[in-house]
Amino acid sequence: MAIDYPDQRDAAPLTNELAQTVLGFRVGELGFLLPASLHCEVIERLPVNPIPNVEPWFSGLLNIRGNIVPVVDLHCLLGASPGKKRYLFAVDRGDKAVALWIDGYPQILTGPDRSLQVPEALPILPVRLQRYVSGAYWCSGQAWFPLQFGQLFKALGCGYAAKDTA
Amino acid sequence: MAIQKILICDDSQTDLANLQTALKGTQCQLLTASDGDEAIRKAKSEQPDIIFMDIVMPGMDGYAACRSLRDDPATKNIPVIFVSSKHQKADRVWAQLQGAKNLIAKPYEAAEITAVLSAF
Repeated sequence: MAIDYPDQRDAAPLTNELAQTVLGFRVGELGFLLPASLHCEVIERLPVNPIPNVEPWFSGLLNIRGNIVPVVDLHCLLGASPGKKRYLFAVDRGDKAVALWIDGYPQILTGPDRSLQVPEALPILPVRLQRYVSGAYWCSGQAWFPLQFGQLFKALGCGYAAKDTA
Repeated sequence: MAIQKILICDDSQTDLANLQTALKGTQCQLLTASDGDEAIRKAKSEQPDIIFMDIVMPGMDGYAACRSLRDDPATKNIPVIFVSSKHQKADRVWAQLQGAKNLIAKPYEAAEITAVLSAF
């Protein structure tokens, strides 16, 4: 199956980084790639404060050193089954920061060593993600998708605000 | 490997001073940096034998700096030791995945710092 995702416009920055090192994290069967230059950290033992009357994928808010960070459950958003061990993975900083529930620890993938390859066949991406994925790679028996997470969460937030004011 | 030149990186002047005090007895040349970008620049130009680095810093943080150092052939063999108040199990695993050799929890005893040095 040839992969032809709709939005390839922002693929260049991460594609360039794929020759170097990228960050990978898993949500269910899907793997996602982020630029290694992005601020990110694994969070342990911090309480997620739930918010009433929100979408199920919005787990709540996390206080990371005084910064209030929204927590998004991609499993819920994508209809994926959570793994046995989930971690919170905080990505980016300031008002762009988002924490995600991920399966297992994130990984450091190095292009030349890990041989990230363009695949011929991959799992079908959930429709909700297709606009925000700029390609697909195969590495160590796992499909990896470069995720434009900033655009995804901006769109989720805009959609949610529009729904709330309607 | 005899350690002669040490780069220490922390955005807190107090923590930088504490590390300098802990390392004073080693007679090593001490270089300082206040964020990840500066640490990378100094690592390339000064080629220290080891780097002690905080994790949470403004600008480029310790994790991203460590990834960048590991990615550059000029700096990939310089051992990085994180010195941070982030020292839960997940932090330690994540630090190791970045390529760091160790993570020393703040607050620390000076002996912990020198013990790490003796391993190199």
